[in-house]
Amino acid sequence: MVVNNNIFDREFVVLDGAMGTMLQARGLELGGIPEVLNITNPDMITEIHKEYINAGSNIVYTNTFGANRYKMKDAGHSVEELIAAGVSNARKACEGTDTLVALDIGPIGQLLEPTGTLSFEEAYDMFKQQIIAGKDADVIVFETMTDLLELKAGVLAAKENSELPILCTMTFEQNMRTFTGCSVSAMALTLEGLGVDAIGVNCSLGPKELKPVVEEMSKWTRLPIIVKANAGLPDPVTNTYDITPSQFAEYMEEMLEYGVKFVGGCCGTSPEYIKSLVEMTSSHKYVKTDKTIEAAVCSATDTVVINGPRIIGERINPTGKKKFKEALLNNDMDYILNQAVEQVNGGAEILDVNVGLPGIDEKEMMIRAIKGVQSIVEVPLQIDSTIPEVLEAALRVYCGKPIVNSVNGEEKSLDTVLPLVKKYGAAVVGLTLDEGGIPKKAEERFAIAEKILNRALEYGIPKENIYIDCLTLTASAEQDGVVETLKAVNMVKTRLGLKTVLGVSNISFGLPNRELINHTFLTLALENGLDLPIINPNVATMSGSVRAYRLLKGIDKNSQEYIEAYNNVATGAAKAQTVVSDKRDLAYAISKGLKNEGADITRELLKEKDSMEIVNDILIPALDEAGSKFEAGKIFLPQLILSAEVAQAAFAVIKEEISKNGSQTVEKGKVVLATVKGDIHDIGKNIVKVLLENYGYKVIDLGKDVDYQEVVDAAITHKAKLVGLSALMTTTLVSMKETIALLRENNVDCKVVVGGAVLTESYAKEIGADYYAKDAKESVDVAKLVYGE
Amino acid sequence: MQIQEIELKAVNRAEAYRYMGFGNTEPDENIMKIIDEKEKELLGVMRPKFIFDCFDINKNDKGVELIGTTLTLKGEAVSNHLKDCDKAVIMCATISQDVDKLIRQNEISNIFGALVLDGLANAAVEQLCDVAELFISATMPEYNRTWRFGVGYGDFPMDTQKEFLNILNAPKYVGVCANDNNILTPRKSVTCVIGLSKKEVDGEASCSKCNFKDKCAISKEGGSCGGKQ
Repeated sequence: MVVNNNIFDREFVVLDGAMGTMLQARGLELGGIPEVLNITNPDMITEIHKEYINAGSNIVYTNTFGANRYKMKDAGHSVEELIAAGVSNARKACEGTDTLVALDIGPIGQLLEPTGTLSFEEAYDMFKQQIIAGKDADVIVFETMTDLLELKAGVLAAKENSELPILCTMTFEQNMRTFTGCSVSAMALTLEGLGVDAIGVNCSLGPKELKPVVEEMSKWTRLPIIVKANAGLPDPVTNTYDITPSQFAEYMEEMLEYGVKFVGGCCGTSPEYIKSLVEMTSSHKYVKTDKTIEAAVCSATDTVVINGPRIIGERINPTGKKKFKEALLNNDMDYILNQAVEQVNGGAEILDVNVGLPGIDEKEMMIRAIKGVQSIVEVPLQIDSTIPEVLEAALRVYCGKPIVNSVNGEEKSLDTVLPLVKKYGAAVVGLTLDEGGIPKKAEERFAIAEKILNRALEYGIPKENIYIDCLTLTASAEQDGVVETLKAVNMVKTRLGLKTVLGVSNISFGLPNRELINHTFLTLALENGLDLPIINPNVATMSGSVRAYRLLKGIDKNSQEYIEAYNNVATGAAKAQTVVSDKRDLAYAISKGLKNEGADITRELLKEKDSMEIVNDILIPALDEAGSKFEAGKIFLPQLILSAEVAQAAFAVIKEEISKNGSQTVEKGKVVLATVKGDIHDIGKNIVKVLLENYGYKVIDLGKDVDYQEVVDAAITHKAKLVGLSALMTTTLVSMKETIALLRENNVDCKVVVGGAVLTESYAKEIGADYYAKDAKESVDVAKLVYGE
Repeated sequence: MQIQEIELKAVNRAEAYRYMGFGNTEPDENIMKIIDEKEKELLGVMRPKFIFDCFDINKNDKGVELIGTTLTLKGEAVSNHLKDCDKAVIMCATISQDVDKLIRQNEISNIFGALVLDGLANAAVEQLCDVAELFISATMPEYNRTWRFGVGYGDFPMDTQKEFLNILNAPKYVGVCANDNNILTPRKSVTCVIGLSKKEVDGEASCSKCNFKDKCAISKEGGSCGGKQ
C-alpha cells in the first residue's frame, strides 16, 4: 500500500503525544497490557487518538507499542488480533480527516545476543509478524529503540515485507548514547544506509536536553529528523513532568534549524502539547539539509571517519596461515576472536574478516565470526568474501555500517555485489580489475575505478561509500608495477575524489626483510593518497608509520594520538622488568601466576630440553601441585586459574615449537563443553576449558545458550567421549536435564559431567549425569577417569 | 517511580575477594596488582543505576498484592518478609551492559582477568543495592525498612521477573530485561523487594534467617554473603 497522502510533501508533520500517559490517566493499572484495550475497550483508544487528531496531529501511532509475541504471551489475544484492532481503532479515529495511521512498534523487551539470548533471526521474525499484521497502516514507526541491531532487524523485516514508509526513533541518554552504547552517528549512518525515510529521537529526555543529540544527528544524515520528546524531566516524587506546552514548543522550535520535520510528544505530553506544536510550526519552513556526509563506517559504538589514514587489520584471513586454517576446520572461534583483540590492541581501527576456506560452510562461519567479533571488540568490520551469498549473510547480522570487500570492474561482480551494498547501506571496496585481469597501467586502472564509481552511483550508492583498491603487485615479480599502483592511487584520490584502499603486505612477497619493504611502500602510498592501508597492525613499524604520518601531516592535532600510543612504552618496559624475578624457574612462575615470565622461561628451556620433557616433568607436575593445594584449601580458585593461565602461555610456546618441527601434538581426548540453553553465565565453563586444555584435552567449546541438539551433534561429529554441561541458575537446570535426555535418546556414546553453582551431586544423578564436578579441578579428574589416565 | 544513576569510586574489595573465591583470605601482592588494574577497568565502564517504585500492599490468600498494579508477590517467604509492612518498594539495579562486554573480552584471552572482573562486578552491584536502600530510606524517612529480598529467593517465584520489570518499566529506564529463563540481562543486575513499615522491622539480613543456612559454605567458614552471621 502506497501512502495516498504524501507526508513528506508537508512542511512539517505533527505526530501525536503520549499514549501510555493517557491510558494511565484512564485507570490502566501498572503492569496491565495496554494493547489488550484495543479489543476490550476500543472506544477508549479511538477517543485518545481523536483527541490528538483534534489537536492537529498529522499522524497518530497505533496502540501497539508492545504488541510482539514475547510481550503478548499472556495477553489472551494473538499479535495479529491486537494489531489489527489497534490499526482499526486508529483508522476509525482518522475518518473524515487526512491524518495518517502509523503502525507503532517498540522494542521486543528482551536483549539480543550477546548480552541477552534473543537471536537476530528471532527478532526479525517477531517484527515480521507485527509488520504483516499491521499491513493496513500508512506508515511504520519504530520507536524507543536502544539496540541498533534490534532496530536493524525491524527495519529489514519492514523493508522485506511491506512497501510502507519507515520512521525510526531511538532513545538517547544525556551522554548521547543509548543504553546499549549506540552512538548518534552510528544510528544515523546505519539507518540512512538501510533506506529508512526519517530518523530521530524519542523519550528519555525533554526537548531541551535532546537538543545536542539532534544537533549531532543532523551532522550525519540527509534524512528529515524526528523529535518526539518527553514533557521535560519527571519530578522524582510526583512523577509529573516539568515543562508546559508552550515551553515545550519553544524548545522544539530551537531544533528546527537542524532539519527537524517530524515533531511530537512522548511521556508526559498530552493534546495540549501537540496543539502548541501545530501553532509553533505554522510560522516556520522545514530546513532541508543538502550537506555532504563524511566518509565513515561504524559499529554501534564506534564511528571511524575516514578523514586521514585509518588502519585496517588484515589478520583475520586464513590465506597462508596454517593455524588459522586449523582453527576454521575445528570451529575454533576463540582463535579468531583472539586475532581480533590482538589487532585492536596493535592499533587496528577496522578489521577485515575473511573466513573463506575449502571444506567449510563459509556462510555459517562468516555469520558466527561477525557476531563473535562484534561481541568483543568495538571497531567496525570489513566483510571479505568472493561469494555474494556470504556477503549478504554477513551484511544482515552486522551491527552498524560495514565495508564490503569487494566488488570489481567485471559486469557480473558489479551486478551482484552493488545491489547488496545498496540494500544494506554499506561502504564498498572497488578493485581495479575486470574481465581482462589487472591492467598494467595506472590510467587503465583509473578507468575501471571510474566505471565502478558510475555504476555504484546508478545503484544509488552515495559517492562517499566507494573506496577504490588500485591493487598492490609483488615488487619482486613486477617491479615496474609498483610505481603504476602508486600513480593510480594518486589519480583516483585527486581526480575522482574517492577514498583509497591497498593491501600493503603483498608488495614484499618473495623478498628478504619484508618488513622494511612493506613499511617503505606504506609510507610512499600514504603520501600518494592512501586512506585505508590493510596491514598487520601487530607489526609495530607498520601501525607506527601510519601514526607518524598522521602526526607529520598535521592530521593528528597536537600529536595527541601519537603521544597516547607511545608515551607509556618506555615505562611499560621498565615495569615489565621489575616483575621478572631472579628465579628463572617455570614451576615458580606457574605457582606465582607470572604469565609473561612463564612463556619466556619456556622459550629458554626449549633450547636445552625436549618439549615433551618440559610438559611431563615441569608443567603437569606444577599444575598438579596447584590442583592439590586447591583441594587442600591452601590456595583458592583465582590462584588456580592464574597458574593455569601461565601453564597455558607455556603450552602455547611449546605448541608453536612442535608445529615448527612438523611433529604432532599429543591429544588425550576430546571434550565437548557447553553452557546450556537459556543460560548466559559461561565463566565457569570457560575456566574448566582452560584447565582441560592444559591437561592436553581437546575442547570443543560450544559457548553459552546452546541448543540441546547442537550438543548432541557436536558429541557425535567429534566422537567425544565426554560432554561437560554448565548451568548457573536454577531456571536453566531443566535445560541441562533436557540436553542429557536428548543425548541418551540418540544413544550418543559419551559420558556427561555437569557443574555449576546451584548443582548438587544428588541432583546431577537425578537428571542422568554420569559425573558431578564441584569445581574446575574435579572436571579434569573426571576427564582423566573417562579417558583412562 | 524514581531512577538514580550513581558513581562508585571503589569496589568493596573484601566482598569481591569472596566472590572471586579467595574465601576470607587476601590475595598476594602479585595478584593484588592485577586486581587493582581490573578494578580500574571496571570502574571505567560501569554505570550503576537503580529504579524503584513504592506501593501500598494488601495481603491476601494469593500473596502480597501491590495496590495499583497487576502484581501479586507470591510465596511464603516474601509474605513473611513483608508481614509487618504497610508498603513495599520494588527495585531493579544494574551496573550496565558494558560490564558484560568487558568480562566477555577478558574471557577470550585472559580468563583470570574475567574471574577477577566477575567478582568485582558482583561486589559492585551489591554495593549499588546498599546505596539504593539508603536512598530509599532517605526519601521515606518516616518508615523503617526490611532488608532486600531478591526475586527468586526462597519460594519467591523467578517467573515474577517479567511482570516485575514491566511495572518498573526497567527495560526502558535502566535497560534491564529478562530472557525466557527469567535470567536478568545485563547479567550484573538485581531485582528485589524491600518492605516499609512504621513499626520496627528486621532491617538486616543475616545467616540465621537465610534459606541456605544449612548448606552454605561461606557461613560454615565463619563468613557471610552480605549480612551478618
